[in-house]
Amino acid sequence: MIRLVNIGKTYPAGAGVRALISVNLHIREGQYVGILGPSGSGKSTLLNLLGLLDVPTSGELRFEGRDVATLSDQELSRLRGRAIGFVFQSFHLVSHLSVSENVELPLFYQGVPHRERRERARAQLACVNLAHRLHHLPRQLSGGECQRTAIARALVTEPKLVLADEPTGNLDSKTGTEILALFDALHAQGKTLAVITHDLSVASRIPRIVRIADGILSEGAA
Amino acid sequence: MNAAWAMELARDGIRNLRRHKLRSTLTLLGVVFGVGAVVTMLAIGEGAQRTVLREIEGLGLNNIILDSVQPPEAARDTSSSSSNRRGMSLFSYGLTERDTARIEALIPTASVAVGHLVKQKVFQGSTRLDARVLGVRPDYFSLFRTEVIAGHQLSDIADINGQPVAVLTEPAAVALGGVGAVMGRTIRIGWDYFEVIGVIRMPSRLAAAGVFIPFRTAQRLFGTTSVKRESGSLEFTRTEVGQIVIRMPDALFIEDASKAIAHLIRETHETSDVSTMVPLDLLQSKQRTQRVLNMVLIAIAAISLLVGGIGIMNIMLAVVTERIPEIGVRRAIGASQRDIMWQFLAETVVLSSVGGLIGVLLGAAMVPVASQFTGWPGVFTPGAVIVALVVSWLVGVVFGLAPAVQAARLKPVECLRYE
Repeated sequence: MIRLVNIGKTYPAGAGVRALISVNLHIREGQYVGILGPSGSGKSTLLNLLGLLDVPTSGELRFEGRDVATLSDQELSRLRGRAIGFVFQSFHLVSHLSVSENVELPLFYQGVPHRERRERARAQLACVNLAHRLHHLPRQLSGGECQRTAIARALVTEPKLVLADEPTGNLDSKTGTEILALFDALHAQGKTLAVITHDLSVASRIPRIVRIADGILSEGAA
Repeated sequence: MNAAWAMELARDGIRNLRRHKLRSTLTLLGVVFGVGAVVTMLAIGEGAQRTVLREIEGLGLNNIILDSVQPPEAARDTSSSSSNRRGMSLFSYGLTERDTARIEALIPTASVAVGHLVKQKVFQGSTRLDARVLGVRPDYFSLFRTEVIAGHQLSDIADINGQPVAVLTEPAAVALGGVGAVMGRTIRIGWDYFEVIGVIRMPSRLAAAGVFIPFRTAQRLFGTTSVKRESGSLEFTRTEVGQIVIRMPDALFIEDASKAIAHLIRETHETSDVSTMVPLDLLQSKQRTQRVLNMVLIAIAAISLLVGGIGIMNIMLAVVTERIPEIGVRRAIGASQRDIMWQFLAETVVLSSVGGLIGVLLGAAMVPVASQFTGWPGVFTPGAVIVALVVSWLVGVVFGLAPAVQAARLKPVECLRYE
């Protein structure tokens, strides 16, 4: 699904901080991978690269066999929209759009007609038990509801890969557990997941763990 | 990008603008006033132009009009005046019958009409009318745009019989108490009485206040010489022909003909006692000044639009900064640089187009006020409205482009990290 070969990332490009050093990682379709590391270890940088939001300074990144360095902004954006779903620690919902509209947004950029967008968003929100919150604004929701909205938004395009950056970081433990249960269900459905966390209790539920420290990646159990 | 997508972008734009009503309204005002100014200026400019052009066209663009004018005093003493010891003097000036004959010989294809100038005072009752009296043949009026607004025109019969009848121009009639008040009444020219049989409207350059009487009547009653009595002296002035109107068969020949006539007049007249009016020249010079005036007006309007555009740009730059995290999210879920650019551009175009529409309405409302002040009618042309709308739309595109491009070029990762 996604393969990183000798990936290096330096901020700012040239002679700055080396966030990633010679990273090799292969995530296969259907895998559920946890990326574990303390803050500042380079795990967010890694997630940004996996999510095609950033480009590596060196090395080769292949997504579904294609070298992403050769893709244009337009192609990268389409790929992000179609194949990848993001879940952020701070939810990143668009504050002035309703729950339903937030979920519809990725479909808008795929050119899906309005009516179909609405139907798909409703169906997806029903899956995360938010059918009763369609017209609420994000500020009217609890943290767990926000994160479920964000998950619905990530899933509405039926992506192959779901990337989550500390998805339970801003939630209480009970809500966090609910979200993780949702991820387990997605894994069971055959989705590929990569979840960043520094929380060992989260990592303990994830089948494959990679550790990252000072920009260096190593495979290892939780 | 298809129409449905554009509609959605526009709808989103409207929604974003409505979230900050005060800010959007203030930004809008810049465009509203700019477009309002453009619309008003165009309408007034057009109105002024039409008024002037109509007036000049009324003089006949195929015509060359020569008038006898009294030369200045200084020139008079040394020229064609002769005086004797008894304080009597004879003074001749202006066009002559020989001039008429020369012009007819010079330009055989032209039709030439002459007017007989009557240098007498005009009264109705005890009211003195400051008007020029011209004896003309009936066909004279067909040379210009004239309109009978009461009664009728001088007839052939009246001319042949030398009847004492007069036609007044509208300003002359108004000076004597109104069109209704003079019709059928008697006016006195010198010591002769005339019946007012009609009131006409004609280009004011020809005769702001004028009295027309049959040519033959003028010749018979007043001749070519008039007397002016001053303390102990008698001054006779003589003008053979008051006015010559040369109508060319085609406006193409006007320039050459007017040069030739001017040359002829210069050769045969010692003093500057003839004035020449070429409506076509007048028209061209008026059009030139009008073009300059229009350009000045448009420049002023453009500056106010520029200010409005800068206002839009300023706000949009702030909006982009404000929405950096949102841009990051949109990029993460599949928006390309182009999508982001269109999103912000849609917002500015909506803003400036709405401003344009309101500006057109404001302009429409301002036109009557402006014409009150300038004295020119406001002519509201569809072209001007379209220009104003297109320009306002362009302002949105031009001034929205920089912020939109800036938004599109932001790096998604940095946007998501932005607090």
